[in-house]
Amino acid sequence: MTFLHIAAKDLRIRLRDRNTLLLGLLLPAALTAIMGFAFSSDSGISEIPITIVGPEDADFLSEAAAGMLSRHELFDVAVSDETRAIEDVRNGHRAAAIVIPDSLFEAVSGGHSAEFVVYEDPVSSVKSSIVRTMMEQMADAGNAMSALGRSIFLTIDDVGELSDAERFALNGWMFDWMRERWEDPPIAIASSDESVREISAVSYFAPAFTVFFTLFTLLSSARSIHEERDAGTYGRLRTTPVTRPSIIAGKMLATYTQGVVQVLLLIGLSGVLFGIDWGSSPTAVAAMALVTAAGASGIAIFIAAASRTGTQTDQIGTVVVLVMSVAGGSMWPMPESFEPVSRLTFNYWAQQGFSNLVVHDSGFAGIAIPTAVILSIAAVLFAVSVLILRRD
Amino acid sequence: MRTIWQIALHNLRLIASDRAAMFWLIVMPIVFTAAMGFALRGGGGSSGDVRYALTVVNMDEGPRGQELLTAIESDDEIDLLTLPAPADSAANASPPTIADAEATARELVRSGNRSSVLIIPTDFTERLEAGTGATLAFVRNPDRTNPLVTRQAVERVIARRNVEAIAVEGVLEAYETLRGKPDPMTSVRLAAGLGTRVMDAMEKPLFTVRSERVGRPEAVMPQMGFTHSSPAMALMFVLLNGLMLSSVLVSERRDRTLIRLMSAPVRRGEIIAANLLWRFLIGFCQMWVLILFGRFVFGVDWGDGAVALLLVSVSYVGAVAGLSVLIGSLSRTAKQAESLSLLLALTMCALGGLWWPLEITPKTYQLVGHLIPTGWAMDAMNNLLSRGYSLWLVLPQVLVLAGFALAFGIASTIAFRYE
Amino acid sequence: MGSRPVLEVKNLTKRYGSITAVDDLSFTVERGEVFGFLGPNGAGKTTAISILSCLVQPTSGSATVCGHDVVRDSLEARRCMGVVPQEIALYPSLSARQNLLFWGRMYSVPASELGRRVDELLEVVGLADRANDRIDTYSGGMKRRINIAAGLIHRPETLFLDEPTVGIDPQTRRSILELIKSLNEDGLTILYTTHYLEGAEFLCRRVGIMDEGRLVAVGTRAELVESIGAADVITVVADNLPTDADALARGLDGIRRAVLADDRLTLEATAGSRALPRVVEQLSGAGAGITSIEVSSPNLESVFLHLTGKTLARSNEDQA
Repeated sequence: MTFLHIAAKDLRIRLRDRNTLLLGLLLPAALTAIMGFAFSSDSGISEIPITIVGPEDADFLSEAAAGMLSRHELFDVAVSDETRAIEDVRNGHRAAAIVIPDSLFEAVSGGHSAEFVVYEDPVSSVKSSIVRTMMEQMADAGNAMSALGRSIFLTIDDVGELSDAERFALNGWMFDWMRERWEDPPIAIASSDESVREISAVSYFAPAFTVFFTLFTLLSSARSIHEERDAGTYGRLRTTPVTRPSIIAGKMLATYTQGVVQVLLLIGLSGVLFGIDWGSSPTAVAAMALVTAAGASGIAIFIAAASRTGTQTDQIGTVVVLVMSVAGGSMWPMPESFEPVSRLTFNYWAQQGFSNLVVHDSGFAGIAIPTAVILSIAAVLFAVSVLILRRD
Repeated sequence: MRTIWQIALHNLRLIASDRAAMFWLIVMPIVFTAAMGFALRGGGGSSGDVRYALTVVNMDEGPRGQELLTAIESDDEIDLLTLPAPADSAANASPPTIADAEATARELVRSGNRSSVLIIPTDFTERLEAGTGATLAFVRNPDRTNPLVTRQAVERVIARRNVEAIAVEGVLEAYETLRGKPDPMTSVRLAAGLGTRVMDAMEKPLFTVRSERVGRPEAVMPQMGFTHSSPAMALMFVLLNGLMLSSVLVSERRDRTLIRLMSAPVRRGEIIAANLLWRFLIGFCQMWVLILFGRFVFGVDWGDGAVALLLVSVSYVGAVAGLSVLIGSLSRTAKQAESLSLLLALTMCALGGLWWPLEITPKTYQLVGHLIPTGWAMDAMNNLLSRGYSLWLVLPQVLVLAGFALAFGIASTIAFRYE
Repeated sequence: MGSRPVLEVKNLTKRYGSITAVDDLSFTVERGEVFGFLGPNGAGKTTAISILSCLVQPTSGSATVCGHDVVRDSLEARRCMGVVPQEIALYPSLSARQNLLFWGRMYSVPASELGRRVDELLEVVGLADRANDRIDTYSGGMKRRINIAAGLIHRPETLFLDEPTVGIDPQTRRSILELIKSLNEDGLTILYTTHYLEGAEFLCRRVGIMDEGRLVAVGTRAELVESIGAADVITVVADNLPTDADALARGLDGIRRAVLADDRLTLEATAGSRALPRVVEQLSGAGAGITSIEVSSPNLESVFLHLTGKTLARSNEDQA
């Protein structure tokens, strides 16, 4: 039972420390709030300012293009000449400038190519890439249709030469027909979303930061193993009839309990502050919290046990935690191709578990595998830590 | 002046002899930048190399499905992962339906293994050849960006197929509009004449799009994710370490060495100046070590405005030093100073656009980002590196940063105390 | 007498590589006694206590506390001893009461008794009114007192005190020594290590003199003084002492030993008052400017000086 007293003493000391509260609760809450703020609009892009540059002698073309694009709420369209347009992009006033080639008409009628130029602001790469992608899509569609149109023209012409009247009539018909036909193409694609729940950036980052910051605060708690040694209280403990296993168990329990408290508090806070819906199964959420705390405290204790001094714990621990957190997606979702590496980290599995609860509301079914993986990691790390600490 | 320098030098010596401090100042940032760089490069970080994984389940009994796949596979951006069609359920001998496939796909996406799954139905070829139209199923995970790209790629391929498919129908209907329904012989001639015309015409696209980056086209500033761009990391680590040094001031108060200094013939202003100076020197050296490391080891292109970069770094580090002394003056314990520093540093990084580009954030957010030094510093970096600005055009940011430095310096002077 | 010694040490040795920290130590401490280990820093006192407190294993030899071997039966041994380490081994962010409660639990003091015991101890050490204040708000002397209280929480049969008065002012030191004396008067057996003469002289019935890991002499004050033959200690403090002042002094009649340290010359004289004028003459003649002279009758310091050729620290100086 002495190990319980040791755990209680450790917890009392840690929870008194205002800095634990600051770093363990305030900081993740603040950062999650900032994330939410940053990504609050759906696509994140509320407005893309672009300039259209048309052929000098065909204003109506640029006007028409501008008019068409303005109908998109996303674009804030202006018309200008090329030099001014490029300058505006360079200054960052406009995200991109689209230049309609002078040779557009000749190209269309004569079958020569026409090159559109998109000037992009390298700093606004997201916005400008949206513009570019849109242009590419339009070009693709245009190419498909013009290829079709031209081919039909030529083929009919081969069979029997087209008169001027026929050409004219065919033009008009073609346009209408293609537009109509395109609405019901031979191959269509129907998209279905797997999840039915609203996703927000906050839903990703609340669990991500919970995991990340819990790792850090537990690291500094586990560090107390060395601090006690330096302060002499560990030596004193060893002169009492308390056995070493009790001391080790007490410290581990304290670290684990602190982890549980922190994770639960952060979950609660994010539910209250950011309206995150952690799913319809509170028991599953609690279970995930217990599991996450086990993994985090296992890692923290292992690092402290494997280090020789408190400073070493800080240094090695910080590097390990940072690298693992980045790789596991606690800072930002990692690209899919990186997944094999991500899967090696604790953060990845904790994130999976929470994600399944928040995004897919999958209850216990969704946390089964993450739980298994994390508990295995925790078990191994705790076991190794005990072996190391017992050798003292 | 000499006294200021002596005090500053003394503190620098203390820091230099503290191996832990050197670790945080030099080793950690480099290790972290390297780790980030490898992580994201390995995952295809630089914008040219990103590939998006698309899982395909081809249930088509005919050849058209495979043709479609081959076409998708040739897209450089797409990494095709094929899954075998779901096995026949043991209970009945009936072939798996698209519903089974969709169920499997849903499971895959739900478990987070895949972001986008394309299912080609069993009667794909049959329906196309019968002219009744076929629908592909696309199951996606809506909280990933992957499906946006993969879907677009698939649509591109489908568009071409569709054009080919409707070509014959089109030419026949066109002919009918002009000259009445063609007789069988003419129909054959039309179809044959069409031949590969459409495909050939598609090979010579009429409309092309060329994109050009204005400024320094050779600058690569990948902005995705927890940015691995060297400039943002340099700014971040200088800020983080610089602010953490605030605790040294608190320790000096606690150890009463500061008050002892007061009993020596040293002016208060000199002590404050020294505190600002040594922090500035450390931050400045750290910044340039990271800049040079980025340049020569990671090949980051910092542009050719060395003087401009120098001015930006001087004004930024000055602001950081001022804030560090301010925090040290206001905090009561060393731990408090460190916690406050961490809180401020991380939030300033997030708000200033060091972790993701400000362009994707709401206007208010961008405004807040410019109430703090980091927003301006990042602007300056962007201007220098991506836009290729000259010194004059970066001057506004430099002046604002210098203003921050001045403001923090004055505030810390007012707040400075000995015990 | 018949009662077994509380502490029995036989041929205790501890080696760290080529360094012998404790060399063939043998002694006993009887029930109700205050036994002192006197010796300069580095003599091996702390190592000896570490072995007896079951923190360090001896290289050879044995020790029993309350009849329990410190190696084979360490759990039981620890139950009967209280340890007050040299450094303040308390939790700074907890209050005195919380600290004492915790340590009491470590010794399995029954919950029903623990509260009362804590209050009692706080009274004894005179800190009942600051019981709920954090340790890190205490002065050095106050911390030392709670440090001692923590070693007593479980009513041990014996208490090991390792340099309990280092780094505190003379008044506080005095009060702590008084405290320890009163504990002994209540029957507590005490092992007390120090490099200060004052504490040893005031508290200890018997003293063991340690130097370089060895116990060079054991006995009561009177026994030790007598063993070296009565000799006064003359302490001369002077400016410009010649570097061979000790050799010069030794050449004088009646001077048995001389040790020179900075501006202080310590002499062992067979008849102090008679040797004094000769000493003064000799030193002045050599150009020294004498600022103070002290003659003390035979004491532990003279014993120490005689046996080891070194001087001990004075309690009003800190030769840390």
